[in-house]
Amino acid sequence: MTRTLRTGKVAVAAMTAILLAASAGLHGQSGAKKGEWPTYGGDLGHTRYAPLDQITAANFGSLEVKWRFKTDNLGPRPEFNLEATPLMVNGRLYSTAGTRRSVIALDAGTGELIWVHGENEGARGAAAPRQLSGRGLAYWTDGKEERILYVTPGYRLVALDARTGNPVAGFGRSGIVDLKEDFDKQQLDLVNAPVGLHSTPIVGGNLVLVGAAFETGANPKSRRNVRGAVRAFDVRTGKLVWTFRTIPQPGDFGNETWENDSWAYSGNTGVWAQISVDEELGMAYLPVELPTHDYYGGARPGNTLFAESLVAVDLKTGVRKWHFQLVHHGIWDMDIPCAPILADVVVNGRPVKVVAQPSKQGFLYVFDRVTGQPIWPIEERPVPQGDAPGEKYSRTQPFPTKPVAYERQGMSVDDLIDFTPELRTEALKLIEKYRIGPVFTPPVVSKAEGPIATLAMSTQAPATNWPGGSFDPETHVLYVHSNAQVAQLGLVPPPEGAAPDVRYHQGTALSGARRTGGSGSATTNAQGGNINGIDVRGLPIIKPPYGRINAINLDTGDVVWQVPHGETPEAVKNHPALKGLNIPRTGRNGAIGTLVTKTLVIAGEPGYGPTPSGARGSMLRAYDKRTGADAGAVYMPAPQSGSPMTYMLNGKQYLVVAISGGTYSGELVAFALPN
Amino acid sequence: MDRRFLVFAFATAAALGIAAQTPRTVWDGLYTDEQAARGEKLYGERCSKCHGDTLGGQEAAPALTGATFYSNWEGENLEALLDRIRTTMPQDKPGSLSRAQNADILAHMLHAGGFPAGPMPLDGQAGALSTVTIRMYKP
Repeated sequence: MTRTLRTGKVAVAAMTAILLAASAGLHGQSGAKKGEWPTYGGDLGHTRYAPLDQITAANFGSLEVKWRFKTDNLGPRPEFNLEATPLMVNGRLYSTAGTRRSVIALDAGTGELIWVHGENEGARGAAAPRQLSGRGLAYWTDGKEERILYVTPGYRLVALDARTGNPVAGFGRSGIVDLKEDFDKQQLDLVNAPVGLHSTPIVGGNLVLVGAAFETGANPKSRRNVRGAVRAFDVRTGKLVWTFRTIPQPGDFGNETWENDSWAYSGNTGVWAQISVDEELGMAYLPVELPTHDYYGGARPGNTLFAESLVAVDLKTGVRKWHFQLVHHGIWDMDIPCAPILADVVVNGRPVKVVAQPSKQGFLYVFDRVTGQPIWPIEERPVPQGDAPGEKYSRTQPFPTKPVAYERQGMSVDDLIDFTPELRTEALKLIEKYRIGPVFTPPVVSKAEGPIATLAMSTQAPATNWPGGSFDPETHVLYVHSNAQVAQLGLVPPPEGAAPDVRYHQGTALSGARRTGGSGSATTNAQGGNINGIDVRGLPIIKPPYGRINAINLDTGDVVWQVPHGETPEAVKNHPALKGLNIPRTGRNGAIGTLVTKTLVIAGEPGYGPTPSGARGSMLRAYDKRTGADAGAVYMPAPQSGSPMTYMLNGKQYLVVAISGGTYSGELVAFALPN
Repeated sequence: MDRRFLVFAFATAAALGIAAQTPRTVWDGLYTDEQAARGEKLYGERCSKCHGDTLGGQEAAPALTGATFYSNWEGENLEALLDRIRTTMPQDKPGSLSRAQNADILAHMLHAGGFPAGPMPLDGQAGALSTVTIRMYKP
């Protein structure tokens, strides 16, 4: 259903702009062009870069809200987790928003609603594994037509006329392709099959590429699940053009890596993160997740290609060109969470087209994106082994030699809290019953007497999550936010009534078998009482920084700077045990996307925290992109929950960011300098 | 009008007024252990799927305890938290739990958060918790 609220005037000038845009090519790997923001990542290589320079360190602090758009009534109830990055093309801003994942078109200068499209999917929508407004949408034009494409919570691909919001009659069935149909020969229940997608489709070479997402995989209902696959559809007709199987079937390359015929029943292995496209090379880059069960692989022995692999395929055919598995036989929930970043750099004096993949594990993997060869050697090294019955561990894992890991990994005593000697002593005592070790230390079968769990950073509690990073095509520096947070990786027998084909569930002997989901992330309570016992009087067991932005030069592989991102959280700032101590800015945990402009790196703080005025809220911060020095901040009433984007309109640079969280429902906020 | 009634009415209004204005925090023993136990059961049935059995959160849903959660809610009133739960949760069937059930779940959250129980159950009626402030550390 679409409501057109105002008929946009298609002036000659606007049409000329469209034609110029089409002839120039809207997409590339060199940032967002012409002051627009035509794809989720700014360009098809997800650089999240715009060469705009009106907003600078000198004036960032004077930014003011130009307009705001509240999303409450787009669905039957307000949403508090608006994760979208809007697009801006031809003076219109497009986004998904609201609890039913509606699509809105706004006047980019005023925020006025032009049209809205929503799909009430009833029971199918309610059964969706990935609900709410999603990460956004895709835009396509051939210079005549303009289309908006998005995936509904119920897993249907919808094409809308960008001018009116009406479904495109010639696409699929009345504008819709049912993604639960024709899905790698699987017969799926159209209402209840637990598959969906919350990332955006991506359009390259007149094809629209779509991945798949599932319920989170801590404790699967069965070792059987829907198989992920990536599909490409003709952007004009919605006709299926190719399917890339992420779980190779008999005869496919890699099928033998699924031992004991586990390919036959295993599922997941989808691509729920953003896909990147290089139209010039005619290639797409697919970041693949884990197979069924995030923490126990007894039912899927082997390396199980293409799990946790970066796969490059031919854009036109979907045929694999190369792949690199980042994690063999994964049991840490290290699925690839974000867009591969396409960058053109110069290494040892040689121009090279690379793809750089940020990760949950805090490694940045960099490859020649034509050949798949690592730019700096990636070594197979022995890793710690475990003793969970039925598990078959990989003896080695790939370790990039450069860049160094940009976030702390695993856990060692050196990571423990050290604000005071007493707190450190308590932390040391606390970890006695846990297993700690370097990256790739496996989960343990949990015992109350110990080990209760493996404690690890940069695993399920990720260094980098879905927002991914940014890249500056001029300076060749990549920026990525990361978190230091501790997950408990423990295995327990399944609770009564659970499916017999899942031998272990994730949990600990202290908390018991998790009934359904459960992540094992750091669980603390307010005042130092313990549920799982890995906080110290309510403080994180690790020392800060808890969150930071990292700048990495892709010509050299060197980390250029790292700065804590986010004011010290209230829980630390006001802790009774820390009275009188001067705690430098610690940064905060969160899923944070960055934006790079001509001079700045821009990102909102994660979560609520102290703001300079004392008002409850969160700051949108800017850093000097060369040095990481503070370059201004502006108040927001709620934290960034989507990633910021920017554009130029009528001579003015706008910054738009989705904010929400706590009691503050989803809102798009547009900042610009005063007139 | 009966004078006795007037006196009673004024006295009641004054008492209510005072009660409504008395600032309280989550440290004031606002729920019973029995209520928290009911809430734990409900939480296991309706909430843990996404937020985890220990309220630790997971990929698709945030933690409902711990430093990050309480930093995010510091200074807010408990009514706002109850309302957020009541209107948006559980995500697969928002609004399907009664006020009393939501209050039970909130009691479980307070219990898990280390806040003390008291003699009276948490009151889920509209407005009842609007003067209760969330403070992660005991004032």
